[in-house]
Amino acid sequence: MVRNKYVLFFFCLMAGGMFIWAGALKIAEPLEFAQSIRNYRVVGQEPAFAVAVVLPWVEVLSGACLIAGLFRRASALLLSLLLAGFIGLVASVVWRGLEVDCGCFGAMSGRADGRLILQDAVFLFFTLNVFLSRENGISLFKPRRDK
Amino acid sequence: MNGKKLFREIILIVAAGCFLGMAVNFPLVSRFARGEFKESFLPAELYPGIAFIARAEAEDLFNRKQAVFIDSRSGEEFDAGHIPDAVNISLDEAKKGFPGGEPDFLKEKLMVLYCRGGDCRQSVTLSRLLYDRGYKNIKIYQGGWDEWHRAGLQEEKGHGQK
Repeated sequence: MVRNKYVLFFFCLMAGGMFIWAGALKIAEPLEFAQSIRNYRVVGQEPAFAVAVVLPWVEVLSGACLIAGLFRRASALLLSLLLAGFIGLVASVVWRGLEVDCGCFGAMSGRADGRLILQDAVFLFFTLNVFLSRENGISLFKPRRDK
Repeated sequence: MNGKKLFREIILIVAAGCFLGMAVNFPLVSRFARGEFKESFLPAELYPGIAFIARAEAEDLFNRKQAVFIDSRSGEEFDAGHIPDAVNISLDEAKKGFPGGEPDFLKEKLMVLYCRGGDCRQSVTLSRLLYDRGYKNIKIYQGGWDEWHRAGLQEEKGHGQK
């Protein structure tokens, strides 16, 4: 596990920045994102729409919290859970032999394939390290001492 | 940090995300609740031949001339600007059963359907209609005309004026 505060902050910047960027791209086009979710053939139209409306905002907020150092471990855990979910979803697509656009970066999305799983795994490594680290690291907010 | 605090903070982030998402998209959520987009989503299990593509793939197909682009917007919108060599089949025209004749030549070709982009769903509705009539090789470019235009890619005005 990484303990160096500069390396951890680098992880926060990378993962947080990626989620802010990905979320912002999807916020602009909720219907497009809803269809992308629908294409995974896991949920119906209504849940896909609900997720499309809410998820990009959760991504942006978590990413911003991770970088700013506000609720850092909570946002790192939340992003880890999201990434684990994405990996599972993309793996299921590969397993089922479906050819779908991942929908993760709006217009800049690529195919949901093994490369995407690898990319998500790298970010999962970053967020898990931040979550598991006791080091508060570089933060815009003064960390409170846990009781 | 105890688990309870961690859980509370996660709930706070998710709740804030839900609130912002619902607030910002309130008009869209209302339209969805009224059933306005009922026919505008594609159940992939019913239309297995239809795929959604992003701009990179649309651009690639355009550059390699491997697909016929179908503009599903109105004639006026098409004349104001469209992807070069695109064929204008407006949704209204297709619903009326192609008054100008069924475009049979398209049955053998890969078609890329697009509309304005954003919350426009004409291309999706048109794809269902065409698929049901035997056009099985369809891709939908979701970003649509707005995205293509914003990216500064080649365009055409009227009926063939570049």
